[in-house]
Order: sequence, then C-alpha cells, then structure tokens
Amino acid sequence: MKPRPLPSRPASAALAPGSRPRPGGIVAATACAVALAAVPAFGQVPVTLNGPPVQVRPYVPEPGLPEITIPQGTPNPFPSDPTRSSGDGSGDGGSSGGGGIVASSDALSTMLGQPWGAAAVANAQALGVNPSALAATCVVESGCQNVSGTGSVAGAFQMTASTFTAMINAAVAQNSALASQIVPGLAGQMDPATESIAASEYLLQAAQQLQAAGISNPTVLDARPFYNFGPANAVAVAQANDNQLMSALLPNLTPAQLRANGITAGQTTVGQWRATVSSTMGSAANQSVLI
Amino acid sequence: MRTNTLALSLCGLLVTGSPLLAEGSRIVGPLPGYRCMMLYMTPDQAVDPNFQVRYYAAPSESAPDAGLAMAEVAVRDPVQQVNGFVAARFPTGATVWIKANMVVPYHSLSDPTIRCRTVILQNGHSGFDFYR
Repeated sequence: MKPRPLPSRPASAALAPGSRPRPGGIVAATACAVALAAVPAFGQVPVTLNGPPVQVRPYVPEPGLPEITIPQGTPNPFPSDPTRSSGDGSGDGGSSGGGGIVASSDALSTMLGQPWGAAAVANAQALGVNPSALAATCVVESGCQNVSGTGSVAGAFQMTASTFTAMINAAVAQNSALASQIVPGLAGQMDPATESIAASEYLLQAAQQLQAAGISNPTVLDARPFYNFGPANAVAVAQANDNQLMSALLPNLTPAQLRANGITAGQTTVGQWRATVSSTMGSAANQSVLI
Repeated sequence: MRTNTLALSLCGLLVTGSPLLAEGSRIVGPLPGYRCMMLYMTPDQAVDPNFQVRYYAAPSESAPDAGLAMAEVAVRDPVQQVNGFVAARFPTGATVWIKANMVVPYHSLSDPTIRCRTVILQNGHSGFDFYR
C-alpha cells in the first residue's frame, strides 16, 4: 500500500519504544492539528535542503502488517568504517598513490543530499568508480550545486563542453546500458545525473593513466591533478614531493589559469595545494578512485 | 589570495593530518645524458583531455605506440634526431621517440626563473627536479 503522509508528531506525543498509539491520542492530535490549521498562513518559506532528503517515517502500524522501520536519509551503500580497505594497501613507493580505501565519506553524504545523488552513485559504480571519488569531485567543483561556470564550463562537475562530450561518448562505449540514462547533447551538461557519467569516466581515465605511470592504486587526491590540470600534467603533480612548486610542475599553464585554481605562481607548493584540496574533500581524499 | 591559500593549507593540515599528504619519490641523483624539455602545447591544450602526445617505439609514425607523453620530457642530450623524431627516455627507462616539433626547452609560463633537470628517483624511474 502506498504510504500516506502523516502529520508531524510533536515531541510531547513521543511514544515509549514498542508502545502503540491509543485511538484517543490520535483524536486529540487531530483536533490539535485542526486548531493549528485555523491559524492564518503567512506564505511558504523556501527551504534549502541540507543533507539527505527527508523520508516518511510511519509510526502508526498498518493493520495486519508487521511494523516496518525506515531509516532516515538515502541509504548509503558503503560502510562508514574508513579503515576497510578494498585493495592491497601497498600502493607504489614511487608516487603519492597507493593504499586508498573505498568507503563512505562526508563528500558522499553531500552528494546523496542532492535529488540526483543516488543516480550519480549508481553511474559511478556502473563504470567501476568509487562513488566517494565522484562525490569529492562535485564537492570541490561546485559544492554539488548545478551551476554555470566560465566559458563552456558548466554543471555540478564543472566540465568543459568538449570534455563532457568526449567523456560521455567514452562512457557509453564502455557501458552501453548508460545510454538510456543520458540527456542527449550539451543539455546533459546541466543535468547532474548525466554529467556524473562523464565525470566518472574522466576519473576512470585518470586512474588508468596514473596506474600506467606506476601508481598502482590511485587515490582521489592523486587523480585531482588530472581532473584539474589535464592529462599531460597529471602524473607530474601526483608524483611530486610536497616542497615542489606548482608553477614548476605546470609549465604550460598561465598565471591566470593557476590563479583560477587558487595557485600563486612561484609560491604555492604541491604540499599546500594538496592540503587545500584535502580539506575540501574531507575523508574522501585518501580513498581509492577505483572500486 | 596567498594568505587565504596558506590559511586553507594550514587548516587542511589540521583537518586531514599528514597521512593524507602525498609523498613523492625521493631523488637519488641527477640523470646525465638527458635534458629537460616540455611538450609544445597551448595553455588550452594543456588542460584538454582530447589533446594527447604519444611516444613511439621507433622514429616513425608507423612505429608502435610507446605510451603517453607528459608535460615534461627527458630528451637525450645531445639531441638524437631521426626522421623528424627525437630520442627520449620513458620514466621506466625505455628509449622512446617523440616528434621533434612537439617538444621545446623547459620554461614555465608563470614562473620563468624556474629551471628543470632530469633526475633518477628512488624507485629507479627517471623524473625531474626544479630549481632556481
């Protein structure tokens, strides 16, 4: 039976665990609700959703059915224990990567708080990408908000039009089942669920390139330069020591391009950049890109 | 801007702790016989995922693909040019070839005072060291 929306239960009407509401209590609550409804409304107040969407929590049992408990928020498919490792944990001694984990994260919770969050998680998984890696990307890029950007950059994952198109095509070539979920053309760039497919593919390609360079289990932080500064610059930044200058490792980028990424030429070190990115990504930063 | 960056960095250090900060491979020493060059590409091409420069296994366009070139390239010094290709060193040590018109001497667009040299890393791969 389709769940019916129920009036909020005031705190004073809290029931002891395992107890059932009495009919008299329902009548009284109904009368109270009617009385409250008589108060003139002053218009709707827009509310910004912060966190997972609120779900209906039935507290009146359906006659003839067992009691069902529905947890609040969108179910998180990953364990919250960040120590659970999916890989061998050994990584590669010659790089920053290796030993990442796949687990829940603050970033994942933020993405799941969006109406398209659950679809994005499924899309990432369909391409073999850790949903927390995808979530960290949208958190860093836009706070997981579907916004426009400079030039052709747009969407929750802030991809350029050309990158979006290339990655969507590559994703569908890899997993044709995704084709039915894509908003066609560049309109898909502003559909976060569609753009999540392109972003997942981009992360996948980043991980594969880093693996080819000897980083056996790239972390989300390792893959960030690929997403941010392009494939040609990805490995150098991922493998760099913390004391090296970002402007040395990104010789083809202009001062303006560096500034747009919070980097001051001749001053910002790799360590500073990593720390800034990590603080924004939260616990997802050291997780594996790949599932 | 710099103050904000540093403040964020310090905040990040406090929040994430040092384990999250990646650690690169240690430089063992200079790599003689090679010079530090870089790909010839525009700033837009640098961040374009569709722009890729490949290494070849031999100095010919019909030679097998030998991998993807990164921004910095270790080109053999003195330069060995054959059929429009120059010899270079793949990070793992293999000799590869790249089109001569796709590499230029290293220079940072945002920080012209920086110099680059080829080095050997602790893991045996070749890498690059930057200095002024």
